[in-house]
Amino acid sequence: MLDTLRLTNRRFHGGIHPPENKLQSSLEPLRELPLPNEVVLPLGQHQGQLAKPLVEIGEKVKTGQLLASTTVATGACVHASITGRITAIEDRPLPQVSGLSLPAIVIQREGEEESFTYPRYDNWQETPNEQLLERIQTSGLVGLGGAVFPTRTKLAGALEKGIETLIINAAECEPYITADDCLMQTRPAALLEGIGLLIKLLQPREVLLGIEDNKPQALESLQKALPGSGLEEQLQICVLPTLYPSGGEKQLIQLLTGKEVPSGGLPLDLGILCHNVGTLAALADAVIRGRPLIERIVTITGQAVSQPGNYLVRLGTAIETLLQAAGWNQDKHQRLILGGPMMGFTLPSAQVPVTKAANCLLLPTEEELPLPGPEQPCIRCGRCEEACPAQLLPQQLYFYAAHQVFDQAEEHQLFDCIECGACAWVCPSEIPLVQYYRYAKGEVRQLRADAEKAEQARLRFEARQERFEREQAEKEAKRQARAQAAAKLAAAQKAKQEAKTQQEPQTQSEQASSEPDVQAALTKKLKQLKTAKAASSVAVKKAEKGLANLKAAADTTPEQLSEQEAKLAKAKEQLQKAEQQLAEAEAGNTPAAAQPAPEVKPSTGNPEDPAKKLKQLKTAKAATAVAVKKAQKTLDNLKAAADSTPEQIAEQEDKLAKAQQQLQKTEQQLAEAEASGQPAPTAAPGQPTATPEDPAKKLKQLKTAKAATAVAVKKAEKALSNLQAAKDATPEQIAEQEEKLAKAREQLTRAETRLAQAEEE
Amino acid sequence: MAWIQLSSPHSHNRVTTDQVMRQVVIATLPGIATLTWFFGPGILVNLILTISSCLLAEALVLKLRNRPLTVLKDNSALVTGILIGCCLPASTPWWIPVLGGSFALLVGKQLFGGLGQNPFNPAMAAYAFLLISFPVQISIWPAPATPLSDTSWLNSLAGSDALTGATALDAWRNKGLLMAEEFWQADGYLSSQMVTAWASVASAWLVGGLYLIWQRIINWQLPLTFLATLFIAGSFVWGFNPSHQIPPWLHLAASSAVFAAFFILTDPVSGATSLKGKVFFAIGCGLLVISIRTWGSYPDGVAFSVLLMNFAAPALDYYTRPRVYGQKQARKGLASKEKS
Repeated sequence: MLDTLRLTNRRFHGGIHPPENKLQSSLEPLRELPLPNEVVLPLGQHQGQLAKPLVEIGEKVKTGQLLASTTVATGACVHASITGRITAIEDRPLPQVSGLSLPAIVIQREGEEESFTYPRYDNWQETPNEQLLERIQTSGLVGLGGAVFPTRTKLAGALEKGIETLIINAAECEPYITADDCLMQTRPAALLEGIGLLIKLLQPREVLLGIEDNKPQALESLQKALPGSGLEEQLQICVLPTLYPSGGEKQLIQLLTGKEVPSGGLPLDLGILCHNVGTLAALADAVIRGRPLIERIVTITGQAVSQPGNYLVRLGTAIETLLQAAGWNQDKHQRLILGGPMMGFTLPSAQVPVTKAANCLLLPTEEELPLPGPEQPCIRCGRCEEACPAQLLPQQLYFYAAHQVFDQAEEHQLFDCIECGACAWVCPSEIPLVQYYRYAKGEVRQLRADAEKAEQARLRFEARQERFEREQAEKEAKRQARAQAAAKLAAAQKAKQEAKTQQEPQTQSEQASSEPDVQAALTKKLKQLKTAKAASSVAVKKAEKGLANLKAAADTTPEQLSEQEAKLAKAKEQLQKAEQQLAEAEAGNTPAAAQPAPEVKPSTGNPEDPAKKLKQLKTAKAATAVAVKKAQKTLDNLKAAADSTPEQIAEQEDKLAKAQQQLQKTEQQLAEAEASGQPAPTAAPGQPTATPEDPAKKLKQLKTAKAATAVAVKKAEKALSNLQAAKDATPEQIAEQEEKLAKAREQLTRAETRLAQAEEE
Repeated sequence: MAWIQLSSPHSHNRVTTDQVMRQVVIATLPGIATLTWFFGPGILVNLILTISSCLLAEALVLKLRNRPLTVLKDNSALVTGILIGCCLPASTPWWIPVLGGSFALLVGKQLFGGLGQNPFNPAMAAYAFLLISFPVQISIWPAPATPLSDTSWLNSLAGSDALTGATALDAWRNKGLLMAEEFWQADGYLSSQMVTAWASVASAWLVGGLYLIWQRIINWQLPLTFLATLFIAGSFVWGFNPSHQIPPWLHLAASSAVFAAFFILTDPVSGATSLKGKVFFAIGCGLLVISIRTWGSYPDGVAFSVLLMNFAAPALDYYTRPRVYGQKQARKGLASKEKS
């Protein structure tokens, strides 16, 4: 057995030897308190958020049933500790110095004790960690050493970071308290199971159990239980010399590993995890036996109780019930301390429940723990410094706290104080040093919070100020922009007014001399030619008809016939001439247009063959259609070709537009020709010259022109957008195209205005 | 039912300030007895005068400050009185101890706010005051004699001349150009009785000091450091000129060194706080004592050294803070402004 012992020769600084006073309770056997008639289960027995109740008033619950759960990581579940009916869910005072009230579930005992059963993880060795953690969470486990930190959260953090060393805190250095001692004596197997579970979960390299040498029975009991537990190889039991506060987490770590938890850090930063023996036994119960945390061992001691000892108590039992069971002598009491004499705190009332944190109830008499005398001046004797396990300078801290020099107190590492009370215990001037430190800590925290608040307020104010300024600037900018725009508008209107009065004639003359008008004149001539041609073709038809009539007539003389034949030939000639002229005009545009009118005149007397003309027109139409198709095709080819320049495409598009225009024209001509085929004979042979332009015809033409220009505009627009989209288009190209577009638009508007004029006429 | 509400810890080791002071008083007894043995009951008269003047002065101030007179029970005024009384020559006029005791309490202690507030060791402040003001009355010790038969202390109270003898350090200072060997052989400078007497007194103080260490009233590091510094630094100086410098053993044996090591330097109020600080405090005192004894105009220099180091104690406190648990290294100096 002895090879599992390792007497440590490491030390922490300071430490004290207060009278242990443990035998009063440790010599007594563990007693089970009779089931209480009522339990009060606060929803905030742990560090972190309150649990949320899952039950309602009047509901019947079994022992171990989940009453309240939590969804957040920093919370712990609450379970029914007796079987009965829920009578209230309301605020009840917690066992705290402040007498703070928090929501609690109240159960009145009713009927036979029935346990709510949870599945047992008999083969926990093979159970996945997540499942075990889930069970730990739903069992409401918290650190039972006093911190009541949710176990699942602590273990999850350790799992995430990974640990080297698992430390089991069995030191129980605080005087009077023997709850852990009792647990180790009565349930060593459960403790070892709990250790096994943690080893399974966390896979530490070493497992150290630290126990003070004032608990020989507990040590013996552990050593007896160790063989066969499977932990013989891993668990190292280290016996520590009794010295308060060796059970402080930081001090125990220093004793067992020689390492120091960094200031402001966690043991986890060193790869160390500490757990209290009580927590480990509860862990084993929860996982292996399916029993949630519903009871704990509480030491009741002090000379004011006649039956000191350790009691197994259901959580939620009123402390007063406990005191009565322990033989509380009402006359002798004066203080009710929850915890030990060094770090415990006095309760304002016994009407509070036993919670997960309650490890000891101490009721000392005045002779046993005399009330402190009046505080005397500090003589800087340095005893506190010698006693301080954190190696602080308590007398300096006291000086700074008492004189409210909080920045110096912080500089002297006030927050490394663990409030163990060793300094106050040794102080010959009986200065309540810890109280000063608590006060200073509270003040510093308050100052920090205030500073943070002030900082936030400052930031908010600055942001608001900035926003204000920005808005102001924006408003100003808008105002100025508006003013400028208004000024511009006024100037522009003025300029327009002036321009209107000055430039109107000029623009008109410009329009008259502009090129499109020449073209319009040409087309006019062309139209005239066409009309002439149509007229001559009509004349030809008439002549033919007349000839046929003459031939059919019996009384026709040969002279008449030949005369008619000559007429027909002349008309045909005329028609041919007109056609030629027209073709010339259409092809050459300008030279032909110079002299069409006089040529047309002779056609009046020489009607041409309309069918021929139709045929020609059809052919022309087909030819233009082919041309359009060709142009379209080349354009497509050009577009598809990678190396075609925008100019080429634009050119081709121009060509295509022209061809299409041509096609439309020919189609129109064809339609006209077809239409005029019928009415033409009715027209007087001499008349056509007088009315070369039919208004309807003109309208149609204008419409066509308008459509054509619209197409041209669209094309130009398209080309421009293509150019703009193209990355390699030069600004000049774009400008050129824009110019083209502007021209096309101008033409369109002109065509539209002309059309409108024509329609009005 | 009303429970008493108190802050933790609820347990106390029951050692109180008056108990600490009582231990100090007990520890001075061997020294006082030896002094009386060699220098006569004048010592006791001095003690009675210093103690009563201290207590009276403190009572007066407490009255003026509207403080309860129970404060007197903390025994601190008693200790101050004893410490001054032990420094004064047995043959000194009666008003010297009265003046000294009053000065210690009024100026040395209560002027700064009473117990725990004084920056200087009250006993040393008073002694320095007397030494500067009345150097003759403070320096003349009666020749050690068979004390109980000697009645010269009565004469001294009456102010008449009595048989006097210089202390070892005084004698050494006045030896002039005499070599060390000649000094020891020459008559009229330093009687062997005087040397024996002071060596015995020093031993008695040592006994009392060990008692204090045993009782954990003081720590051993501080007196040891002081005496060791005296010895080492004294040897160093002596090594340069053995013929004319004080031999190191005399530094330790002469009148005040051991007394100061255990009863004066260990005054917690006016000393440094941390153990490291206390060690530096002791080294500083030792070096100053050697300096004054070697190059100064006063034969001894313990009082001035202690007062000078009292000045330095706050600075020592800032630079000798221990490394706190969980810190990589100790912090030094004042809190920086930007941190706060």
